[in-house]
Amino acid sequence: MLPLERSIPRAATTEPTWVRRIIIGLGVGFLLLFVVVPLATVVIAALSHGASAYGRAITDPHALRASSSR
Amino acid sequence: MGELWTIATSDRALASYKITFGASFIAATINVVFGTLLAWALVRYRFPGRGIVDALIDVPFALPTAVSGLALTAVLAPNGFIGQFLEPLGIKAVFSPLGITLALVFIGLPFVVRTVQPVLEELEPEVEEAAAVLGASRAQTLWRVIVPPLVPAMLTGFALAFARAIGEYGSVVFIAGNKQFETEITPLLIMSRLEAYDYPGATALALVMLLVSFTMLLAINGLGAWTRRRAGHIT
Repeated sequence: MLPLERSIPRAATTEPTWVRRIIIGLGVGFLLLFVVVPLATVVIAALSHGASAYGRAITDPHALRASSSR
Repeated sequence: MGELWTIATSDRALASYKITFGASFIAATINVVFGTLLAWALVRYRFPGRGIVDALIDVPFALPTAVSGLALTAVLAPNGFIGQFLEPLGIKAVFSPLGITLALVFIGLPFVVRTVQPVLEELEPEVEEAAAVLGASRAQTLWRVIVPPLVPAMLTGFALAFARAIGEYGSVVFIAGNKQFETEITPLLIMSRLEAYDYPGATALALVMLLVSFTMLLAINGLGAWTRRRAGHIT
């Protein structure tokens, strides 16, 4: 009685583990390729000349003026 | 009037419509496939990093388009992270229609995920259980119970991604290369008309884009209404 009650609903409303893995893999892989890689490139390029160069670039008077609302 | 028609139907303009609408259509289609897949994985499955994946979906919304354009160009260039693998295969991913399409895929992804996701969350598992109890296989349940209410949301996501892709400028201009007749998108052509102080010419092109977009959105909405009615009949 009990094992039957447990096994039917689970199999009926979800996919086998391998199908789930493929779907998750495809989705996450797509996101990695299209979003994470470009995003990482931006961060790496921004810091490629070191943290101090990054700090100088964002505190440059022109940058500050352009990003303030006044 | 005749002059406007000449501008709007010039060879250069026609080539730009082809690339703009073609790339946008392909990109929106890819977005529907992978966007729905991602929405499904996020709603139905629990896996490590799910919260991060959910947050990353919105990055294309948050990133300034010029930044995403430059980032994608850097990644896909022959010496870039992904481009270095495409180069030996003879695939040109920057300054080509492929590059334009890839940029539009990036821009449009959140539209599909964020329209399909809430609809999936609203689907009651009881309906699927009922289908299973009534003897439906998982494939039948998927096709006849889950997909019909999902189709209108997928169409809306497609329409949003497509509409955004047609007007997209910032993220495309860097990766496109903007070669006349090859990789020149219509928004760029409008821009160059404006820079030449040719306002009527720019408006003529804008009008064509407006008409095509409007017709396509109308068709997609009509299709959505039809699928909703059909779904209503099934349940």
